[in-house]
Amino acid sequence: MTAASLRLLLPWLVFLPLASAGVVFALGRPAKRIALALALVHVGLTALLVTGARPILADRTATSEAGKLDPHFVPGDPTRGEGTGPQRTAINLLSLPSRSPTGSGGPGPNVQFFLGVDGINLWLVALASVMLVASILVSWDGVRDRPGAYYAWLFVLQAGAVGAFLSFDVILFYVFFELTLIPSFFLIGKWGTGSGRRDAARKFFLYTLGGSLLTLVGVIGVVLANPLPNGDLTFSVPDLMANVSRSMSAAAAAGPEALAAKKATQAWLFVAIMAGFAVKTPIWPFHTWLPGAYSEAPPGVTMLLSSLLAKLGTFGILRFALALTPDAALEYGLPAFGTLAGFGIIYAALCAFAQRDVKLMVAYSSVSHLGFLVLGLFAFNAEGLAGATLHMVNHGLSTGALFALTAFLLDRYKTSDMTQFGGLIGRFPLFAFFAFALCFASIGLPGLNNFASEMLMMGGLFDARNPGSGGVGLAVVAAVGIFLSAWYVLSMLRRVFFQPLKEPMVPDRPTDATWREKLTLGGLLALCLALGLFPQMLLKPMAADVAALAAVGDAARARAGK
Amino acid sequence: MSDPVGLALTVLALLLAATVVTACFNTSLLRKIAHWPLIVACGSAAVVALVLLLKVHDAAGDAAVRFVSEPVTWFQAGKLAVNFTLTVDPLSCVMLAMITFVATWIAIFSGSYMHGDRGFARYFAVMGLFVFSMCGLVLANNFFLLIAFWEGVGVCSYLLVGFYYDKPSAAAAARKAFLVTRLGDTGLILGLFFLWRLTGYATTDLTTSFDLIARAVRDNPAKVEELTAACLLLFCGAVGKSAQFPLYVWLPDAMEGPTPVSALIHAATMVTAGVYLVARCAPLYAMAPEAQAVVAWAGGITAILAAFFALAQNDLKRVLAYSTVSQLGYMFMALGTMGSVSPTFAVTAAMFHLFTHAFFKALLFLAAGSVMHAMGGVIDMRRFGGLRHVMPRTHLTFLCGAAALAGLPLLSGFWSKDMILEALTEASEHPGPHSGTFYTLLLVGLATAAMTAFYTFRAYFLTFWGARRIPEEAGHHAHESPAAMTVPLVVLAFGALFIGAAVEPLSGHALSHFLGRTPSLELASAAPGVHAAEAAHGFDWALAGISSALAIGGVLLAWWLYGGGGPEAVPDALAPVWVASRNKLYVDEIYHGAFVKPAETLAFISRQFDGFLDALARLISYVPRAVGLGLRPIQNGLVQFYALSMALGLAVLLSFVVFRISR
Amino acid sequence: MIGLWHYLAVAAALFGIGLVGFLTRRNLITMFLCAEMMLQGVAINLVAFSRYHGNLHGQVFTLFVVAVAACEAGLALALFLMLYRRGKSLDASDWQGLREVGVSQTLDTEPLAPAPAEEALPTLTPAGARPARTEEEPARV
Repeated sequence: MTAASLRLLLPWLVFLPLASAGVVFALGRPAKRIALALALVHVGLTALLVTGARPILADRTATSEAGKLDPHFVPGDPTRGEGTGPQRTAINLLSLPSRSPTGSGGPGPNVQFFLGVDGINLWLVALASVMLVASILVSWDGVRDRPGAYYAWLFVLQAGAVGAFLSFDVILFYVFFELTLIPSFFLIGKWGTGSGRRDAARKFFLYTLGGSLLTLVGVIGVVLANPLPNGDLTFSVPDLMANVSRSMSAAAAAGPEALAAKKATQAWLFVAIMAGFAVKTPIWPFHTWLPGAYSEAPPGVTMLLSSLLAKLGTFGILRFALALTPDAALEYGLPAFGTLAGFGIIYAALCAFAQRDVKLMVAYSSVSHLGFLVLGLFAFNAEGLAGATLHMVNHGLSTGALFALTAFLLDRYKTSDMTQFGGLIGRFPLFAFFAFALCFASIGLPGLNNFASEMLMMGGLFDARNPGSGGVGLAVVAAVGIFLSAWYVLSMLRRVFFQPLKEPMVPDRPTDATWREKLTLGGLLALCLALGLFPQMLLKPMAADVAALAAVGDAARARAGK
Repeated sequence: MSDPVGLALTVLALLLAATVVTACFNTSLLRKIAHWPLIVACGSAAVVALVLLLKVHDAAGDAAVRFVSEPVTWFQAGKLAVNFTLTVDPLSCVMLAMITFVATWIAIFSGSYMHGDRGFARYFAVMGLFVFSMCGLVLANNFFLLIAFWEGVGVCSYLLVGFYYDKPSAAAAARKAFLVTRLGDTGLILGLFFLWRLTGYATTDLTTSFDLIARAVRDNPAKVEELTAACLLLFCGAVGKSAQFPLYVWLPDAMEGPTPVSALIHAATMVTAGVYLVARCAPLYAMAPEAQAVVAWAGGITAILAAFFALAQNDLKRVLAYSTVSQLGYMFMALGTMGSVSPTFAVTAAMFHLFTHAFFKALLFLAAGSVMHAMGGVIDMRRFGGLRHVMPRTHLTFLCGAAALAGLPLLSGFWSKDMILEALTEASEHPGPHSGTFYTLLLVGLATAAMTAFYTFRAYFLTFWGARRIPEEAGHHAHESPAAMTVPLVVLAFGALFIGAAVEPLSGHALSHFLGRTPSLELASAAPGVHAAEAAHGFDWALAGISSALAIGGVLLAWWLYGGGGPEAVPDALAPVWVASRNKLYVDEIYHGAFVKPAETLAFISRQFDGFLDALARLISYVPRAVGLGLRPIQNGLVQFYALSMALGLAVLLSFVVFRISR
Repeated sequence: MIGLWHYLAVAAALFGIGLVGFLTRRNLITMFLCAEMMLQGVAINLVAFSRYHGNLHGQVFTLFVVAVAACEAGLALALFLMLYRRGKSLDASDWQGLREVGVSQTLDTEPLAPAPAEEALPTLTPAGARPARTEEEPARV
């Protein structure tokens, strides 16, 4: 795959799911087979992208420009990728009049259809692509009510997630970010399994919408506060990063008062931006929508919620909070949000232990793990950022897989209440094998995926020289969190898989894993194992981008020292 | 693949291949022969490991020798780089040879012991992974790789201890084993990061970071405190894995698994990992005297406490389990003397005891397994007795193991225990801040030696002497076990009797010399403040005499009390002591009350609190509702009213604009 | 000379009359006519300014307004027809049942005067046979 064909491919990663949604919706009855086929086509496209982009991204020796993101394969790039400097696009969605005082020479500020790939979002797109297939397979038997609409909404959800991951334009990102809300709302509210599904869907929708509107305010604030040198506004993330760094260094040169004023502005913008992402991630105490939404949604949807939507929050922190408000992220990231996240790690782990429903336990464990991820992000150095990015993929895979496991029980017994089960090893040996392996992956066992990313994030915390924050203390909390995760997961395994056989009464005798469950669980397990043994495959291509972002952090550290 | 690293890789590859192949054997056709891949792989791995040992021995000569494999990046970001890299040096290849050798015989034994079990293939697959992880652990040359295999060992022990999954006690024991060791590992992981920081974020490879840390501490003595903290955190991991006080509680419960698993855990693959870790990190501990003292004290407390618990247990395997805990305490006592005698001597003493202990403890557990097999799964010593005629070969081999464990003169256990006591004596004579400590510990060691002899032979007499009693569960099984089970016993019995003498006094201290050629130990000897001079360790006749006398005394006491077999009669005066010992001083109950219950309560409180938090979030949703309630009357359904309010609103707005502008 | 001011005065008068009419009358059709009157006032404004500024912006706007007003008329009259069929009345206040639940009804202090009885038309003395009275639909207000 040449760079040119990758550039043509990129928009299709977003449009294909939208088109698939239309096709599946129109077809109605035989929707699931068509949906699976279309999702596999998307995986194929993603595979093309990954194989094509990985060598190019991995070969970057150093950052092209320190402290600047480096999107590749941008559709609509006027220089066709051969120009020097970062690529940009010429596809405008909305043009505003130029307010540049120096004349109307340049184009005005444009909201652009600015998609691109770098080492960070490449893997999240791949995750979104793979998880949809898993989700469709998990929903195979469970969804009988209007399958056409169900799978169509799943595709819309995927389109939103992929679009948000690929966007390098703040408004475009926001549009895709919000686009994910609508399908989630309907999927939870209409196809949910519990009695409280409507309430859960409403709470989820309003809570996250409320947060993300604040994010919109913050993002627009960043755009207004950081114009181009000629006075024009820009919505492109790489340009905004350059503007931020320019205006901050100018302020630092101007004197402490100017710097303090800039920092105060950044602090407010940071808080506004974080509002949406903290809810979406979620960071304690903004997680209360999560147990309801995860437990009421059908298992296939829960997989996508946990593996994709939560990542939108953390990805947003990485792309916006860290990149666009670096000084505030450094100053308040670990001390404020890090403390919340650290508390959340322990708190959610304890809550997970106290749950009697496997699904709720996994939901709370997700909060706990994501707290760790947030810590890794706010360490704001190469180890922490690389670890956090890797952990987004790893956590998506392993938590998604855990929800797939609960789907196994739900499909057969209509319940995942762990007090009703016991001794399932003898009943379902193959399922037990998958369950043990995936649970081990979730508690961060070496050789499986989470270990490498957790170690990198811990390393990031140990190496965090952020002013006024106890990185090591938070690392200790995180380590305790890893221990607690073993505690609740093993307690669950002990109840469900050990001890004498106990199972709820169901009319027909349940069978061990079917072909599609073998495919889902086996595929996810294989990915977990591959990522555990060869995480360098992912880390190498993202090294340059992570270094660029870490350079932003270092510049902010230097300013904070003044 | 004849270079040492290649041979080490061959060992690992063999074991991994065996695991994978066995896992594929889990079909109804092949299940019966699922033990063969592992036996073959372990056997050939043992041969390869022996070749490796000889090769390294030849290469060593009089100089330190180490082969390090080419590092392959596992994961790397920023300054944290983790490599797949192995090291072969005398320490690791002695461990490797011991593990594979013992594991081979345990595998052969298991093939017969586990015959007909529905989880036959599962058992051998996990066991293969277990041995593989342990071999990887001793070969790893990167802290994170080490942790990886370390956790692998933990998982395999979890799966094997919980092998009889439908037994609630096995399920509880498996979880306990994994969690307690995992608790220690949490400290270990943090310790690794402290070490990484001490190297100046430069490396996580063992060999390089030892050099870097040694240099850093030499340049800046203030860093000793940080190093001590790191060493103590590392020791947390060792305490968990090697079942030391206060985290020893999992090991006695871990015998819920099949008996060969206990043999594997106690002898070769798991509990030795902690000892190995401290021995491997000797250069670090040598620079941190406080950490050494903690290691020694933990070992001492564990040794005597576990010996006390073993006195009155009724369960044969539990006696052996506590004896393991106690013997491991010995090894840690030896390691704690590192700074006061030379590190080489201390580590050699510990490793020597580990080495001999592996033989006789594997033997004892397998013999206990043989008894259990014959008794139809009964292991309570009150229910059987007088088995020496029923199972003559098991009886004799058990006697060999018991004698070696008791430290009767000239047997394996005697030599290694003597070396540890010698190290303690020397440390107590060495002028230093902790000489008093070591004097106390020497007394502890001697007392433990006597107790060990007593409880070992108590178990022996209760099981094999006295009137013949066989529980009804035994059925037609009550006879000597098949050859596949007794041959390993005989082989290990020879080891228990003679291996100690063979590797140390008879061969001119071959083991000490060989281990002394380990580069990390030489580095440890060069550490500041270490009693470096490697004195010629003469045999201390007085000490040997005292310890022999104590051991023989213990045996005689046991014979006097239990020579006629059971049931045991305890003098009234000693009854409370016996009750305390049998109930393990209620440590499990105390832990449950002090840690587990509060944590569970906290968890339930958190869950309740989460409901409260949710209610708080919901409270926000009442704000718009309340506002709506207030604004409702405006919607009265009269179009004119709406129009009027629009007109008035517009008027207000316009007048505001007009007057603002005109002003 | 008629200047901008005159146009604006007319437009304001139209708008004012329309507004007052809209607020005071309860007959839906009358209200609609008043609303149209307000629109025309605005349209005159636009045209006047268009003329004043010498460009076509205002006129274009006016065309839009007229077009929208036409659509509106179509829609509104259709709606009124439906409403009349349901309630047999064109009184806007009859529809206050659409208010929020729990808000009390606004009582009409000045009820609509009853529709005057159909006045008998003056007739000439019949000069022949009396024609049969045909049943016609009553005229609707």
